[in-house]
Amino acid sequence: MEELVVKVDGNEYKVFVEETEEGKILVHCGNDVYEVEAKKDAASSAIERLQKKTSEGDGSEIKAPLPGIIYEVKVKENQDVKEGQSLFSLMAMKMENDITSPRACKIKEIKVKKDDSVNRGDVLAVIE
Amino acid sequence: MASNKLKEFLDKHKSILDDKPAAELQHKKGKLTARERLAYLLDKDSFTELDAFAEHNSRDLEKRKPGDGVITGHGRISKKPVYVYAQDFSFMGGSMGEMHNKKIAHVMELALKTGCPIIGLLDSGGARIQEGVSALDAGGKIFQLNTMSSGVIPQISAIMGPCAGIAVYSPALTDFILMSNKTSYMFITGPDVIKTVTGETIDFEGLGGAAAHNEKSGVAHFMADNEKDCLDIIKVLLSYLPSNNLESPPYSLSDSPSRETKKLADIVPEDPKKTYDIKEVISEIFDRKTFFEVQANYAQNAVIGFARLNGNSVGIVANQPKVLAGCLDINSSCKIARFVRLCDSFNIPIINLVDVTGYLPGTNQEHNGIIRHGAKILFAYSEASVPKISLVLRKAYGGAYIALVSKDMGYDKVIAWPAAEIAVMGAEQAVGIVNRNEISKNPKIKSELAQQYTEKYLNPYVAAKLGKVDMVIDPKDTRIALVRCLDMILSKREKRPSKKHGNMPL
Repeated sequence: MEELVVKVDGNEYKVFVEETEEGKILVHCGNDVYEVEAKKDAASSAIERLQKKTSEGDGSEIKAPLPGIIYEVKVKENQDVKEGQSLFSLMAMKMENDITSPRACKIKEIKVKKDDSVNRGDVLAVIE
Repeated sequence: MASNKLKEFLDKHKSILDDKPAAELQHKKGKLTARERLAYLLDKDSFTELDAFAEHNSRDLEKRKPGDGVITGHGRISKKPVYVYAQDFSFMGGSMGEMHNKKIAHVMELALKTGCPIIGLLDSGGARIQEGVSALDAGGKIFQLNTMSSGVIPQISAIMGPCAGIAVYSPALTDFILMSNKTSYMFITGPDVIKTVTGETIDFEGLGGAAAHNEKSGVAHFMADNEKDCLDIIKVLLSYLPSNNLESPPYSLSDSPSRETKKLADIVPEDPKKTYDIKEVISEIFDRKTFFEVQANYAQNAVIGFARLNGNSVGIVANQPKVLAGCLDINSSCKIARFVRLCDSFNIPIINLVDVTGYLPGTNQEHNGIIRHGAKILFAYSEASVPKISLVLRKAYGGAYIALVSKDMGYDKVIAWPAAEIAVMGAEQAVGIVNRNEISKNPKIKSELAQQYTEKYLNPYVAAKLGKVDMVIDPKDTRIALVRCLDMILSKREKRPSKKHGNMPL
């Protein structure tokens, strides 16, 4: 909660504000609480939009983004997966890198198993 | 008599401002006219048009129109004066004739002379073939001015239609390229020529659309949903930049300097093998909702962008452990180096968030020149005289340590979290080299040796003992520490030897 001093019609009020959810703000003034909707200007929406943008998933193959060792296979063939779901864990650059699904799809074929060494660009799975 | 002349002027002026023919053509394609774009971009009624009566002087060309297919002038964005040009696709496809190019060069000269940003809204089929070499030559003037203005005033190019052939190189020389999704294209040679020469079939969008240049080529910096979005992004971008290299960036306070960053301990796993999203870390540390990412879709293993820290505009360079383990590779090196030079040009302090083991190994990287591309990062940071702060979250090994953290390379402040591992390399690799003979005799001792190495070297204290780390802090105090450090080094002055320019590896 943050303390602010606001001026309305020439009168000063000490208020406490808190953002409860995206765009909803509660203003505490004395014993009263007002819910206020924050209006976004075009500029702030441009900032947020850029943060959310990800590339669209296309193609039918999941490829290794960097050379490493398959640390875990997290899905089975014929399994339906959601967009962004983790499919493999690839140990590379001293990290367990999540290889995620670019879109909602079905796993058609898995081409690697645990402890396999893969090169960048190797196909790990075929998706529908 | 006088009133007749006035009437003539008013009639002419009216016909110049008549946007109807352009609107008919552009609106059908879901696009705005050049005048509509300028009206949306600039503060209300702030646009002043220049050279409105300019026409080409080619004898071979019947078609003519005052303005010659480009609207130029000056106006204000959030009260800051800017120079602008907007190509008018409705006259000869916005093609770049001699006078058209001279008009653009004219506003560019004025922008440079007065220290104001220059913004181009591009929508053109390319060079005006009928005008031949004189049109080409005037294009050369634009390139020359782009280069002279580089590092003096911010130059922003918004691609809002086709931009082909030599026309792509003016935007390429500017600081930022924005592309409106599905309605803009950039390429040297179009799909038809490619088909004839190489037999490859590809459409406009796949070849040079906003997605291609934002994700694959790294040519563009921003991908806008539509034209208005594109113009909004320009306004946001300018809010972080000064009008020229002699000014400080704009200041705007919106968050408490003493806010604790408690969430950081939950966002960043202590186990250095686990990944996380560095953008959550950025959001928590910097002034709320001020992070403005640049090249969000390109080389995502590095995250760059502007934000505010206690109201000050700062440039952020961060490793993204979630993508390619946050490694440095060719593309991310180029992305980081160019951004660092931009920040340095415009007096914007740079803050690094470091969590990376190093450069990506492999023949692909080596043969494509990771040595010379990776060197760009070293060159850019060493050259930058703006305040430079480095925060080590977890891993900072070897070459990446030197590039992103090393005090001797010029970082003003180095801050580390307790989980920081500042060392030459990871434990397994290190003992594999140092204790090669012992391990070959008795492989079992490797893990024990690695454990010893980890305890001895993989921490922030070895570097702190040597004065290479200024502060080791609790993650919850990260914002407070950064605010205080930045406050104290904003006034930094650092001299460089005088020279024409360095010879940066390219």
